[in-house]
Amino acid sequence: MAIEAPPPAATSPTSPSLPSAYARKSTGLVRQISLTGQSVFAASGNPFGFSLVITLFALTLFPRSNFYIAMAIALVCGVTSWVTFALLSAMMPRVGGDYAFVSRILNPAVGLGSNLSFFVGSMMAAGLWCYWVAEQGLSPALTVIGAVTHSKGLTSAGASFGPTHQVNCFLVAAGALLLMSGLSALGTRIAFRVVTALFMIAAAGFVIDMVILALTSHGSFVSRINHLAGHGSYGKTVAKGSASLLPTHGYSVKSTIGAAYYCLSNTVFCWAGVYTIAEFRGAGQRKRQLKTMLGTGSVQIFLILIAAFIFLNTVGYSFFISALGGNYSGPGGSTVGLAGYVYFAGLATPGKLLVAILSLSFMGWWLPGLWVNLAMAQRALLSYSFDGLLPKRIAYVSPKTHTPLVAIAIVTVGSLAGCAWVSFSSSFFKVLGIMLLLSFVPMIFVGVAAIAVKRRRTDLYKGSPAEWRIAGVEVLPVAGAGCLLVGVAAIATALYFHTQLAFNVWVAGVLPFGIMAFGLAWYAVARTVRRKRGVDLDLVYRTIPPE
Amino acid sequence: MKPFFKRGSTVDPPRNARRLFFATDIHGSDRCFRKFINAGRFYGVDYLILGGDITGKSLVLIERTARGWSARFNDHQYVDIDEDARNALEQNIRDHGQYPYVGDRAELEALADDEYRDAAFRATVVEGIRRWIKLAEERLAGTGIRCFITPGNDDYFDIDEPLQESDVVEFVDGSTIRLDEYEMLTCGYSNITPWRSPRELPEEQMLERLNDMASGVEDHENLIVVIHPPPYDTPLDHAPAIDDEFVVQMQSGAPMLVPVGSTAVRAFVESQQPLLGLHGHVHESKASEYIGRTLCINPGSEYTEGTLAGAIVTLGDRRVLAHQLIVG
Repeated sequence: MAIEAPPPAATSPTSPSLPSAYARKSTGLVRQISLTGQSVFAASGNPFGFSLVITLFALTLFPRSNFYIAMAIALVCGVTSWVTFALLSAMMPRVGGDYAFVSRILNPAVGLGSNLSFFVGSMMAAGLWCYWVAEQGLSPALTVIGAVTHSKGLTSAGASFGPTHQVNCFLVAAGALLLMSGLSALGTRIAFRVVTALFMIAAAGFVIDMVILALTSHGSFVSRINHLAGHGSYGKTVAKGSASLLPTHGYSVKSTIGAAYYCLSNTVFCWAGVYTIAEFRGAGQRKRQLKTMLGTGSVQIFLILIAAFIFLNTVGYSFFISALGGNYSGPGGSTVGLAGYVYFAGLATPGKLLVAILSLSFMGWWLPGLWVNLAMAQRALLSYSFDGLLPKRIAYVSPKTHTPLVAIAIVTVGSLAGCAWVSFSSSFFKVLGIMLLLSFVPMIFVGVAAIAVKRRRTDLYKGSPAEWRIAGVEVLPVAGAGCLLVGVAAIATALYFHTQLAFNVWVAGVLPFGIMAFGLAWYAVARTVRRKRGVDLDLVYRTIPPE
Repeated sequence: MKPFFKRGSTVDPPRNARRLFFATDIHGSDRCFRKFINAGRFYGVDYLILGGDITGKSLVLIERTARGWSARFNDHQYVDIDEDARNALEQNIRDHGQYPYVGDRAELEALADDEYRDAAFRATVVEGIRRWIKLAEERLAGTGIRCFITPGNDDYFDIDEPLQESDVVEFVDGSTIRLDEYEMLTCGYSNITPWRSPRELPEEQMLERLNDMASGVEDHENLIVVIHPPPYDTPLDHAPAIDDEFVVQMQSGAPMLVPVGSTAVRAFVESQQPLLGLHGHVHESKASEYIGRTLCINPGSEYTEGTLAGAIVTLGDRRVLAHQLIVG
C-alpha cells in the first residue's frame, strides 16, 4: 500500500479513444491532490512576505544596482536548478531531495558531505528567522505604531528590539525558537495548525497592505512622512543617500551582478519547499514536476517583482534605499535600520488601529519560516540516522506525540547557537551571507549528479521520465551543467562581494570545504563503528545487479 | 533510554548466526524481482523472504499497427516502433512494475469491458508469476539459499497455485515453518483497507488467524513473524489519509499522515513477543522499531523505479545481532 496516482489519463498515441494504460483496483491508488492543496503547500514553504523583505535588502547591500534586472537574472539562473530537481524527482519520486540524489547517484559519503552544508545552513537560517522576529518583526511594528500614535513609549520599545540591543533581540529570538521547537515536539498537527494560522494572518495582512500601497499615491506618502518626521524629511533622506547609494548617475553593472546573486539566493531554494508536494502529486510524472517547480519558482519571482514595484512606486525607490542605508530619522529621532518595509508600509496605512493590526500581522511570516527551517534540519538528522550515519536513538519518535524528540532537541540547541551568533554579531548579514553560500553547495553536487546519472545509474535513467530530449538534446545533463555552473558562480560571486555581505572571505571560502571534509570523515567513522556491529554502510545504496 | 552505542563489537558473528534478506511490495517489478533473487549471493544471506504484494497494478497498452507498435509510457511516446524496440519497451514496462498488454486496436478496445479486463489482468499476472518462478529456479537451484514468498493483500488468489508448484521457491502464506533453530510464521492478509483488495480480514479475524498459527509454535523466543501489514500506530505504518473518494487529505497544505497498520498485528506482537517482525504494506513508512523485545521492520518500497528496498538481518544467540535497511 502506498499513496500513488493511477497511470495518467493520457491516451494511446495512435488512438485517441484508447487509454494508454488501465489500473486494477488495488491499495494505494488515489486521486490527485487538488491544485489548491498543492498551492497552499507550495506557498507555506515559501513565506512570500518574508521573501520580499529579505530580497529588498539587495537594494542596500548593492547600492546602484538595478533590482528588476537582478531579479530577471535570478529567474534565468533559477530555471536550471528547478528543471534539474524536477527531473530527478520524476526519476526518483518520494526519496527525498539532494541528499538522496547525491548519495544514490554519486556516493553516500559525498551525499552526506554536501547535505551537511544544507543542514548547517538550515540551523543558521533558523537562528536568523528567530532573530528577525525581534529585529524585522517586533521592532518595526512597535516603532511604526509609536510613530502614528505619537507614543514615545512604543517608539522606544520598538528601538529596544533593534540591532543595537543584542540581549533583547537574543531573548526574543530564543523565546521564538523555544516556542516553535516546543510546538514541534507537542505534535505535527498542533504545529501545523499554529503555523497555518500565522501564515493566513500574515498573508491576509500582506494583501491588505499591498492594496493600500497600490491605492496610496506617492505624493500622499511623501506628505505623511513630512508630517510625521518633520517638514522636508523625505527630501533630506533622499539627498543624504544620493552620493553613494542611489543610481543618480546610472546603474552599476557590478552591483547589479551582486544583487542578482543575492536575489537568486533568496528565490532559488523554493525547491526545498515544493519538491515534496511535487513528488507526491506527480510522482514519476515529468510534466507535473516541471509545472510545480517552474511554476512556484517563477510565480514567486513575479510576485516579488509586482509587490516590490507597488511598494517602491509608493514609497519611492531612492527614499527607500537611502532610508535602509540609515539616512532616515523618524519621529523622536527614531530610526528604522533595515526593517524598512514593515515600517514604511505601516506609515502608508490610514488609521491607527489598522496600522497596529497590519504591522503586527507581518510578524506572522517569521514563525512559519522558522518552522520550515527547523523541520528541514530535523529531517536531515532522521535521514542520517536511518542510513546508519547516526545512532538510531536520534530518530527516536515519541509514541505519544509521534514527533522525533531527540532530533528536535538537537536542532533546537544548534539553532540556539545560530541565534546567539546572529544576535551578537556586528551584522546579521554576516550569518545570512555564509548561510546562503553554504546552501549552494548541495546544488553543485546535485548538478554533478544530474550530469553523471546517465552513466552511473543507467538503470534508473533509461526510459524514465527524466530521459527527456528537446530537439534531440538530453535535458537533464544540460540542466545539471547549468545547475552546477550557477552554484559555482554563486559561491564565487558571494566570495567576491564578501565586503558587502559582511563575512570574512577566508572563513567563508574554507567553510564549505571544511564541512565537506567533516562529512567525509564522519562517514568513515560511522562506517568503521557500524562494521564492528555487523552492519556494512557501503551496502546502503549499492545497487544489486539484476542480471 | 538505551545507550547510543553498545559496547563490544560483533565483527565476527557466532557460528550459528543466520542472515536473511527481506523485501516486500515489489508489485510486479521485474527488475526488483531479479535483484531480489540475486540479493542472496550479493549479500551472502541464507534466506530470501519476499513479504507480499508481489503483483503489479497496471496494464500498459501496446497497439499493433500496420507500421509496427505504438504506446505511451513514463512520459514517453512510442510510435510505430519495430520489434526490438517493442521488446525493450516491454521489459522497461515490466521493470517498473506494470504489465505490457499487446494487441490490435480491437483487442485493446475490448479491455473497456470490466469482466474482460479483469480476466486479462489475472492471466497477465499469473503469466508474470510463472516467469518469475522459472527465473528463481534457474538462479537459485543448487545455491543452498532458501527462498520464501508469500502473497500480500493486493495479490489475486490465482497466483498461489504457480507459487506452490515450485521446487525452489517456498510458498509460505498461512504456515509456520522451521528455519534451522528458528521458526517462521507467515501471513499475507491485511486488515481492511478502503480498496477492498483480495486478501483482507477484519481485525478480530486477523488476530484469530495469527493466534491460531502461533498455537503450533514451539519456541516463541526464536520466532520470526512475516506479517504483511505493520503493527498499528508505529513508525512503520503512517500513510496519507484519504477520504471516501480516495482523495488525499491535506492539512495545512501538507498530506495528513495517519496510522494505517493493523491493531491485530500490534496486539499479536505485544502478546507473543517474537524475536523479529517483518512487515510491508505501507511503502512510505520505511522504519524499524522495537515493540518490547520484538524488532519490527518495514523496509518500504520503491518498486516504481525498479529500486529494491530491503532489510538485511543477522540472527544468532537467540537475538537479532544486526539489521540494516538498504536500497539496492
